[in-house]
Amino acid sequence: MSQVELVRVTNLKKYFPVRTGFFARVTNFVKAIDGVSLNILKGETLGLVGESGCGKTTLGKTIIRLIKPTGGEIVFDGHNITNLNSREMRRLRREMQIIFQDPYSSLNPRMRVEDIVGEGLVIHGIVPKKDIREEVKRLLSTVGIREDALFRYPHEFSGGQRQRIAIARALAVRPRFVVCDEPVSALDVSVQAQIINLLLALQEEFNLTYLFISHDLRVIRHISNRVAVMYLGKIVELAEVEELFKNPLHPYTKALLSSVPVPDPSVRKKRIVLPGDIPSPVSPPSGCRFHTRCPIAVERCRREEPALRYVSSHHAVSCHLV
Amino acid sequence: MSLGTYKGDYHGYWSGVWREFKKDKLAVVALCFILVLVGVAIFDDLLAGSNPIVLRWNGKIYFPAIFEYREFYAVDFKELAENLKEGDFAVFPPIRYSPTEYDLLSVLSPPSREHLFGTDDRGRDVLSRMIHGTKVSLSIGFVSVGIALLIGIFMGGIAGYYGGIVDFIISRIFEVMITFPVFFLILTILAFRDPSIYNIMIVIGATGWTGIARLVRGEFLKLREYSFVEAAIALGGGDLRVMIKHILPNALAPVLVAATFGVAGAILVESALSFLGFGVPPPNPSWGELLSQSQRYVDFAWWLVLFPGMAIFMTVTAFNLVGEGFRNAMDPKLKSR
Repeated sequence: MSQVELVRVTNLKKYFPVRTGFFARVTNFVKAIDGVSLNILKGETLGLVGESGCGKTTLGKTIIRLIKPTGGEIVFDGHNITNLNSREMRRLRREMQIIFQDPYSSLNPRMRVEDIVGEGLVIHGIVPKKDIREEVKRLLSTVGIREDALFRYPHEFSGGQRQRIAIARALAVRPRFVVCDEPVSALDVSVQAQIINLLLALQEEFNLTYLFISHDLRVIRHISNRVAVMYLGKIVELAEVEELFKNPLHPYTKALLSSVPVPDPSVRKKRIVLPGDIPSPVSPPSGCRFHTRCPIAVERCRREEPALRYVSSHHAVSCHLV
Repeated sequence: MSLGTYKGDYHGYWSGVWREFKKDKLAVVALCFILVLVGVAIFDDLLAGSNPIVLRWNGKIYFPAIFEYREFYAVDFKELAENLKEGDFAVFPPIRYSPTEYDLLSVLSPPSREHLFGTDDRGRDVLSRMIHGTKVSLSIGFVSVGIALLIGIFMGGIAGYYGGIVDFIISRIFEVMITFPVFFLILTILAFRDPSIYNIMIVIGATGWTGIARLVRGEFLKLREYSFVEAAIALGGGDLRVMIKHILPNALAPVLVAATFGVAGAILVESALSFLGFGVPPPNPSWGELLSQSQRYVDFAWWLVLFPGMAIFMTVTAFNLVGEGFRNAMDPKLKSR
């Protein structure tokens, strides 16, 4: 893995307006991402973990500009893509793809597999028209789908097969960067392993860079090179995968890791149970966003927001007490 | 997930809908009735008219019911058929009266072997006028709904897809239009324009798109959030491609149901307009126009009430039954009944 940056995100923000009342006035904002900075290196897998509703998916979709950011900057391969218009963006789309969580809603039910997988080829003119069918067959065999799937509709496939088709569709345009938005959460455990191994094999074969979003820590540990932990629209900790799992610094990360079940009944683990629910992203807590649930919070946490700072060369954390 | 969960056979969505639809026998009968009506409308000149379907005259074959020939300009085919040469022949339609053929000697005659459905106040054959009126009624029904679909899908589609200010403006337009009493609006417009068939089609279509637009907007709004639409955008698909290839085919089913009801509504509006004298201009035949004559003669000309009235009633009912049948067939929640 190189040390060259493919994606750099600086102070990225996405606020969704909340409209209420007469004439649907904007009365408030859901701060789904609130000042996220991170970088993704060429050829690596950056894992992104956090509980549901913390803004993981929004962050993934905003980085590839499926969602327009409210503020901040996205740099892809040295180009600032934050303010590209939709036409300029369309040309860049083939560089970055996304695999969705739910394979049941991510394939158009009225299209045949050939047209679903071939669409990107048609849009970007990647292969001549007459070669599209051959290319689609090749892509299907790459992801392990038999070529008689060509003329079938999505509803004739299982969840795992559909996810393979969705992966083939994303690969068709030969992207460099793929956002995997919880690609295995909707699948059976036995199928999860197959899809993850497929993603790893494809990464090696096509030199892909992944942003892998998940709430499943075991999956994250298996697939990632580095891991970012997200809480309420912010990154709280970012470290190399083994460093993070062996030496978590942020109290939230510690609590998160303690929730992973260990398949050994003789091991007695101390589970850290956080009190309360994740606060509303409409009005996040003052100071450190985690202070309302933090077991070690002090007065300072209530007033002052900690910055994400590096404590060693490969480990960044945003906590006053580390 | 509702879109992806239908368990169909190999051929996709529509064959599944058709299989469900077939279970509703009444709707199937209604659909057959509509198909017969469409046949009548297409082949009206072969079913009723004064020109022979096939004519052999002076050794040559002619089809005067379908084509116009210069050599038969202003020819009375009844006379011609009686004076044919050896070897020549004429095959007339089963109803040998044209819808505009006057017979002032048999004005308002009740149904008889000569005139199966009687005659109107100018001695024209009612059955012939009804057969040709089918064409008028159905084409007004289909064309005006076609116009309404075009406007409705366009307006509803861009409102639902773009949202925001575009949606706000379009939604207000059709909310205002929905509050209009459409029938009186149509009457007012037709009072200023001459009531040709085309004007009626345009007016009914241009006032009937709001319901469809509302439906399409809702579907687009819902489907825009589906991952497969996001995937199409992520692949670099333009707005037009995403709307036409990905959203529209999935939004069409409820729209077609609404369109079926719309055809029934348009036929009813046309009949009402003709009944009030604002409909298709004479001498064009129309069911509503026949019915309006009965206003004046209802005490004894019962055939002018019964036959056109039944035609309107049955046609409108048939379209409503078919619409109902398709709606039930497409709605997965009702499927288990």
